[in-house]
Amino acid sequence: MRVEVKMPSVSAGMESGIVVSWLKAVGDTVERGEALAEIETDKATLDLEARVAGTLSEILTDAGQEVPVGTVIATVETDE
Amino acid sequence: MTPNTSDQSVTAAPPHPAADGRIAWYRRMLEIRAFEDRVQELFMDGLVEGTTHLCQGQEAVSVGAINALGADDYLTITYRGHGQALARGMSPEAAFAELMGRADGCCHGVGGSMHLTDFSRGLIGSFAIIGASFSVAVGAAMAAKLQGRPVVAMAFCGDGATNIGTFHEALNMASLWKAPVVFVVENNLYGEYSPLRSTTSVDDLADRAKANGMPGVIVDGQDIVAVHETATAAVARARSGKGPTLIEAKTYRYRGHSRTDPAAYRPAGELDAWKKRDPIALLGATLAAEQVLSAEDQKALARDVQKSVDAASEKAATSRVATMEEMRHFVYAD
Repeated sequence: MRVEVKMPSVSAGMESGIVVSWLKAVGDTVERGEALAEIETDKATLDLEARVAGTLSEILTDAGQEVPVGTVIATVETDE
Repeated sequence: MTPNTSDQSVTAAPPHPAADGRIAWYRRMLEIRAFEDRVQELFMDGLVEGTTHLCQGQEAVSVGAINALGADDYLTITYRGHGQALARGMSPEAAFAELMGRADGCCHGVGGSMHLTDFSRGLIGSFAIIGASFSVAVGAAMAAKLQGRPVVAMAFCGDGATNIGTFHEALNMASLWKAPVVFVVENNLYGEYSPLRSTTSVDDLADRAKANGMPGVIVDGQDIVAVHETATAAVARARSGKGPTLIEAKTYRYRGHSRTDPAAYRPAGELDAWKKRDPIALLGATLAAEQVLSAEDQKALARDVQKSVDAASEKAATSRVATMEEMRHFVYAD
């Protein structure tokens, strides 16, 4: 099953966030809770964690890009 | 600092709790872990306003200590209190709904993450004010004592709170009046973003009991059996009229102070070192070694717990937001 990874809403009123860097590459396996990317918001820089275990199948937002909250920035293919 | 594996736990060779009891503890710790992981996701989805303080890594302190209480006892907790509320038997659904500001929440949605409260379980307050949990517990315990009710109050606070004035005032008054209180300090090594030793004059917070004439006990907060034994002895002491005990549980929070804190101030390797003494894994290893619950059964149990926590969060999300009239009713006296 393909699961979308979205730009999260880290703080109230946050409208967009920057993908600082990708910590995983397409094809890498990921565990639930493992950091996929580093995200910068107006409040903090933090890790964006995988919510499912599987394989990182697509990266849709390049490092350095700023995108609105809710934008699908990657997809993870689960093992199920 | 590395995990404390030494001889710090106080009580020796206790009767083991019944195997069934330990399975229930194991399940409850899994529930708290799954709950907290889900809360992080709910915040990221914008379903919860405000902030949150998660307790992954500290589950054995909540479950071990709170299970030493009787049904009529009191409990006061802190803003890092989701685990304590669940350990006291609050349903994940009522807690999730509260975090999402819904009418089905334990405080009808007007409390939120930092104020999980349920008087029907003796959970008389969850406080965002640092140190308040200690003074309220002393008051509740003294009220019970004056009324002749054999009730104990257990109060939780964090390491940073032991530098607050009310902490010392509460200890002094409780000791002077022999209030039936058990004080539990969860020492997770950081007060917000500051390492404990940069803000605090002692290494062992239990030493602060001495200044107030009560026993101070250090326990390995990752070992639920040790926590439970220590808390059980302190509850018995309080109930028998001998006065309060200060328990310092050495533990660790896996996540940062609050949801936007990546905890980059921690030294490399510290988190991994503590995860090697994960409280759930430690109890799981014991249960497997004693053939009480096999590794396979533990995995099945974890899957069941995950399903029920997922279902609870989904159901809570369908609960409606409290109306303005209800909010007024629950905030103001008529």
